[in-house]
Amino acid sequence: MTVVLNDVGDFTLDTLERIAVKGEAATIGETGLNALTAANRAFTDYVTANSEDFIYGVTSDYGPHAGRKVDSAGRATRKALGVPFLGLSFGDGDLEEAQVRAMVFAMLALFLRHGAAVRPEAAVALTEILKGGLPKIPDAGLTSPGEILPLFYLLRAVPELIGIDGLQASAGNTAAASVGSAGIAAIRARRRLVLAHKVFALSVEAMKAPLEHFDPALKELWGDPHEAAALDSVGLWLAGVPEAGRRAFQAPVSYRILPRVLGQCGRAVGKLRQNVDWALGAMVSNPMFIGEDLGEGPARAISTGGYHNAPVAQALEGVAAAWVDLAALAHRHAVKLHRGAVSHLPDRLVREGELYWSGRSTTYMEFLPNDSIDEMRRWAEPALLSPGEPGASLQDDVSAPGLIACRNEARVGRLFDRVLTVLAAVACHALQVTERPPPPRLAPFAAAIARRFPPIEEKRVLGVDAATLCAAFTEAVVGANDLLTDDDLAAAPVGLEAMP
Amino acid sequence: MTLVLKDRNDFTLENARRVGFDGEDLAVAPAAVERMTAARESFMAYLESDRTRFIYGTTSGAGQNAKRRLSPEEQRAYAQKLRRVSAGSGFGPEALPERVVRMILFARLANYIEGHAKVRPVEAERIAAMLTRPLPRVPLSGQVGAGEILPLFHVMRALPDGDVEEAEPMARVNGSPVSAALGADAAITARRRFALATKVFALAVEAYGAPLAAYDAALLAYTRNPHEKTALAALRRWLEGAPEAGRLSHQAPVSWRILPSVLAATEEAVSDLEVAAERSLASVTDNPVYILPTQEAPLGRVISTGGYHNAQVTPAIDTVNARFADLVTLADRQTMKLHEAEHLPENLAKPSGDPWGTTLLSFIQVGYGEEARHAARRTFLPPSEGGGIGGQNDVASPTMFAYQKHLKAGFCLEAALALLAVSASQALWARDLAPAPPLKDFLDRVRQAVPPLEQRDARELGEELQTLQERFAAEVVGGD
Repeated sequence: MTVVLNDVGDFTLDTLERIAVKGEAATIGETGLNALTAANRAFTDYVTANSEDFIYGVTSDYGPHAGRKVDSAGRATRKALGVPFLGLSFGDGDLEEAQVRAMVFAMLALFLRHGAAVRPEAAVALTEILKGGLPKIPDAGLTSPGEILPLFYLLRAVPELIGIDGLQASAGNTAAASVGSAGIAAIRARRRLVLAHKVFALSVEAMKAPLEHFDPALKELWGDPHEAAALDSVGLWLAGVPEAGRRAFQAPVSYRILPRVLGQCGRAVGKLRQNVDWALGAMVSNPMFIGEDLGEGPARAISTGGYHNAPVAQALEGVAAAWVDLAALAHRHAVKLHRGAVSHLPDRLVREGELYWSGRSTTYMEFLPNDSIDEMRRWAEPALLSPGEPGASLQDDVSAPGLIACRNEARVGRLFDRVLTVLAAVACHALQVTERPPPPRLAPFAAAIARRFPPIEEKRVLGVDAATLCAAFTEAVVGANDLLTDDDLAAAPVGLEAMP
Repeated sequence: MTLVLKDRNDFTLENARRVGFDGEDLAVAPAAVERMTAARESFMAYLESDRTRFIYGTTSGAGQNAKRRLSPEEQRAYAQKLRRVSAGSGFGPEALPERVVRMILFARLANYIEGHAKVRPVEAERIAAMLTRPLPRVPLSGQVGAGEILPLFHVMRALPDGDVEEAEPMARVNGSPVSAALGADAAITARRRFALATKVFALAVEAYGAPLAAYDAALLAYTRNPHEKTALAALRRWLEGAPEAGRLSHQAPVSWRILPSVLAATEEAVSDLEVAAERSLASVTDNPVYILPTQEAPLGRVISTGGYHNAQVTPAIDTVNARFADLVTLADRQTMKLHEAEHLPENLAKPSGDPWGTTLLSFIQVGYGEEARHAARRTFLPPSEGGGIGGQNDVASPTMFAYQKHLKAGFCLEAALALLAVSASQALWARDLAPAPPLKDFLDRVRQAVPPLEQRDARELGEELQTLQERFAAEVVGGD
């Protein structure tokens, strides 16, 4: 399939998913092309009529030399030199292809709102790269004021962005890399959250926690839409479980506070989705052309800080922090399920008459989250503005934190998958040891877990199976598999941007 | 003035402000008394219908003793034994501001006002009466445990003495009114600090002569982010009437151009905190909580919940702390740039004055920045299971810790803004320029505390700067 893009209304998380994650192509429709042509013409007329005005990078030089004027001869000289840098960064590997595609998508969002006033041929060339020839962009060394470091790679891969004759306001000096990656993070975060709900519901059932902790009456009492959604979701997964035979008194705090902590995670994910949506709808470049068609007075080109998207970085921080707290709960659950005096299940989840070193238990797996959580807590610290002057130019005095926030959230998310893996394995084992079925709605999920982490009938290298399950959890988040279905995502009303 | 509480709709941020900041007292409306009376009666009927049923803290012990059931004969005696709330045990050199303790008492009544606390109305009236008496000291440290019993012990220990019946002791110290009050205080003061920051940064725009293009009205129409609209509109209000001529001919450094984006994120953080605080104030968070009678359950029912763990205020405060740290960083950067701009007098000194000018201000920013970034560290669920004896209370609520850091973050922001405001004042003075008209009164007040500096030796600059920071703080608390 090819997605047709015409105007800013086409730039949603859904289209980002189609193009960046599912690999669909994109083309600019006739309406879009006409609008691009009109905006570029208006900008050209504006520059011609105001050639002495400061227009960053058009009538002026760049960065530290922004104060120097550049005329048409200077522009020609600069164009002949091509991309100023061919690629400066390096790291452990490259950005994922989905991230680069999402960056292209975010840049197209900028172009089709016309502030960059690019030549239509440049925008078309950018869509073409989605069919093949995407640049490899290193996954580190990308943070500077604005997002020029990743942009250099794209400019090199799509020479038309700066190589076509004619004037344009900006070839993409915007926050496309971070907004694009944040879009990927937003899609994955909701998938990860739904997956977490399923695992925690398994744990609730394994613990035989009283269902009153998740009573729908709490929705009105707490008065929070995200906590209400969490209660609904947990209730959905637990539908049909037996009411009789559960604990006679309240479960540990880590179970009782689950709906509130899940609710907070849903709020964070919803905020991220919302912020990406806002960003895609209003990408700003530097400089930015304000055409008369905007209805905001006479045409003008303005210098902005549009390459710095602080709200998106902030939203990513919120999601990363939420994973840490959920991981803390998951770890507590895994520990408590093994403590017979607390869980009222067989101590260490060992079958009656056996010793725990029989190897027929998940005990000692509860140690595993310790290092993951320790690492998560470090990566989930906020991506604050760096106090250091980022470079030699006194102009470029504050780095944009968006890509750091993206990287941190992605790392925390992957580590969370490990913690979730342990809880899933332990909860399933607890049900097996006590010969109880999973909640009816989670039966396919439990079976999908068992295919990767089979019931423990005899001593084996559990770490190998746990690694397989963890990889499958991550695959369910970044791609798709039987652990997380489209029906699951449709049924669970969590992590959405618009909550009542 | 006395605020009369009728139902949960009265538990708003504005009413919290009236009680906490304006010192208004509280009274319980007759309709609420009736509702609480009816709820207590139906709860007692529910209890009497089966005194062997598990009701946490009423027919069972509390905490790690939850699994111990109390015989019907023991139940009232157990309540009476808890007639006086245990003394608070956390300790430390700093204490909650009194306005916060007042707001805790206000928030406490949300559980009571519609009968969910399942207690007699006299209990609510005792709590309301506490606002007319000397309030207890609540240390900021040593208050992080499961639920909020640790700070509530300090607060409710001062409850007027009186007879106690079943379920009433638990209602006094369970739930999460402390988080609600901390969130309310942080939200109210953060909104004012945001306003202050906007004003100071606008002054810095004027002082640097930064082009106004980065704050162009067209961006208001262009952006989809409502917080960016709010932040940009606020900045523009201060710059109204600023002359276009005489400004820097090319773009200002990044730290000026990204102001709308960083202020937008801050505004969003403050707005989210306001929402979290308001929802928290009005929520019923008791454990166990009484669900009022319905057709299916004519005597109502009691359920055990995790309502005492407020999961939204802590991250909301953390986010505000992070953005305050970012604003401190911008203030640091702009202070330095004002002192080394090629188009401004060197060191912001006049030819007749001390050649060092006010460069020292830029040095001073560094320490506040470090402190602010330290205060912006995240407040995660504590790894310690301290208090989780027997496996029950295994996760602590860390809101008080987040709030502690917020006080530091707020101070650092005020300090950094004071330094930037004085630098901006100096830059305008050195060039004999006036700021945009809306900023003139503010600039006068800055100069009352710290006049432009001609000769450093003749001045006690540290004392003057502290005076300005304290005036900013007073503005934040007083809402001036």
